[in-house]
Amino acid sequence: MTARSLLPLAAAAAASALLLSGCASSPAASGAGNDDSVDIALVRQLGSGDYFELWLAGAEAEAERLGVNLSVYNANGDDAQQALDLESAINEGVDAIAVDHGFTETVQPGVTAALDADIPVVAFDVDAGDDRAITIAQSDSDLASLVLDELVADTDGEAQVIYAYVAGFAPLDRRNAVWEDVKAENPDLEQVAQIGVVNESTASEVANQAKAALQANPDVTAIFAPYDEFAKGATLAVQELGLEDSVRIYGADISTADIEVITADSSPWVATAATDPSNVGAVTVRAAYLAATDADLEQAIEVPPTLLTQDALREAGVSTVEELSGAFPELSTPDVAPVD
Amino acid sequence: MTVADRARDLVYRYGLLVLLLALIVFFASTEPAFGTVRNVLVVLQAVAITAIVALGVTISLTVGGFDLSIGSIVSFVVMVTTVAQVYFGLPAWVAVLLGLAAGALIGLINGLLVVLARVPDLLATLGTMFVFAGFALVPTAGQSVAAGATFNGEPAPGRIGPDFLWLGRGSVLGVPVPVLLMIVLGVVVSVLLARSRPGRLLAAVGSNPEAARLSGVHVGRVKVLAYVASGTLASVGGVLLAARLGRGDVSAGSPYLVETVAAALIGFAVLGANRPNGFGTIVGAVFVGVLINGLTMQNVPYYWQDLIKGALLVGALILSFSAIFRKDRT
Repeated sequence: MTARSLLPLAAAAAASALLLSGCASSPAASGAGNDDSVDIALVRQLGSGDYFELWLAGAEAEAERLGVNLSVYNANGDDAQQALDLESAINEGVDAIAVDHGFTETVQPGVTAALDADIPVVAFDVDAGDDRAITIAQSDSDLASLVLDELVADTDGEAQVIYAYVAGFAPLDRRNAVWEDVKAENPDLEQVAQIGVVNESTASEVANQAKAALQANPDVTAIFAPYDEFAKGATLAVQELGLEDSVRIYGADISTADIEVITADSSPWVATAATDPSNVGAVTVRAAYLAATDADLEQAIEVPPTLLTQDALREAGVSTVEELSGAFPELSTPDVAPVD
Repeated sequence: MTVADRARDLVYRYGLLVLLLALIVFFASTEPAFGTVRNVLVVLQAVAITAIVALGVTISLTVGGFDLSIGSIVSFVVMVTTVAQVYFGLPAWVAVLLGLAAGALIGLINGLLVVLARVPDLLATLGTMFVFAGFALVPTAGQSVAAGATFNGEPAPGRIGPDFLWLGRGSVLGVPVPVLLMIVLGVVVSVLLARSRPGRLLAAVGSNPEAARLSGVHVGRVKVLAYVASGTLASVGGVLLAARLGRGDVSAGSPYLVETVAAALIGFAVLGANRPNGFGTIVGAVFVGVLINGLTMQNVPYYWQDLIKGALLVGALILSFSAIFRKDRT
């Protein structure tokens, strides 16, 4: 039993690594090659999950509207695969490459090679590591500011706050910088605990942490959880402890599941801010299209986020992200990288 | 027996329980909120699902097998139960039955792969791990399931009913339902493994399959049963997880593989069992829960929590496996 029982543990570790790395990806071309039309390769680090699915739906719809041939490479979280995908896209001879997420270290060589081959590159939510690449990002600092303005207004700038944060994720780091500023400006906002963990089961593990922190700090009146999985976990914690009347949660991002959580009766999650993932996907395709056709384009494109309060969401009666842009027209930003 | 031997034996048997007790006393004295009844329930609720799934791991470990697909089963069952309710508008009890059946079926597939196809257990369950991690994504094309999601281009007809949510969030006499289930299943599995004939057959197959075969045990049948039981317990965990989250979170079950294996392995060291046992597994899960809860109250950041959790596991493994603590046992 002794020797045999240790082997499985090692195997389990190896297997989880395998599971994370996923399988090799291949491009799924959405249109036949046609010499007149613009060919764009979309090279993604991740493709599964609500956000990435909606993002892709928006990108594909925009590609169809513009008559673009969009080939999608999805590395499923395998960074080495994403680097290979970039090389494949260059070999394919596309007119522009859109890089969606990833790490600078892995995408930079491919991005530079593409630019050297006169293929323009737009990079969404990743520092491509080459000044010639056009960057697109949602404005995380605006996003955090919108939500924190609500928090400060609701609490008159005086509250004990639990903060959910994990360092090392670029958007969370940018949101963290805003939180640091807000704390400095409002000395009566006291951060009594910091929680957070990021894995496949973030929401339920953050819920367990938030429950411990809420128990240890009974005077907390606000939780700042600037990532929707954190906010969902915090919501679960407040509900399981029955503290809906005393604790309010300020989150970030939005998904269909989030809308259900926010608008539920007596939900403590009172405000979030977000960009529409399908709109962001569309902006990325438009930017790649403009870059491919040598049109004028800013070097750094920012997609402004929208504040979505619980009251506004309830009033609008929306239940899915697809319905959001109808109720909150400011979520669509056709004027960012506009193409008629 | 010399004094040193006696001391070693005491550490071997009670070391982990004493450490757990010491931790509880330490946290309770430094954090007034830790020792409350409410917080005890918070800790138990946090570990209940892990503990139940870990009981399944314990059973497959008992027959000398290893089930890598356990996390995928949890994920798959989360999706089956939520898809059944949200996309197909089925009532909660049907969804629960479908979920349990799915877990038992995957367990059966694992068992048949190991026994009939003679694929080594790690490889067979590695295969099914991928298959069902993928399968969990197929019905929804990779999206999470929540009420109001679109299905075939139209809004999904159903929602996750209050009866179903009660399984994950409700309580009886103040005790959360998952905690009650953990206690009931913990007692059942412990007693079955240690005191019943089927339990002894499982252990016999695990320790020496050849001897078990020669004494007339249907080794293959026992192994298949163990995998079915393991898959079913994982599916109970999946149902509870779906009910707690209130939505079908893709790959929500993935972390459960390592968490539950850790709990079961820590359990080896409880009371000097040095083998998979139900009581030890529950203690292992609770131990991790106490650590996370107490450390969070102390504002210890997550990266320290992982480190300390790992150190605990290493310590428990030394207790179970090191020659220092191994007496001549028959």
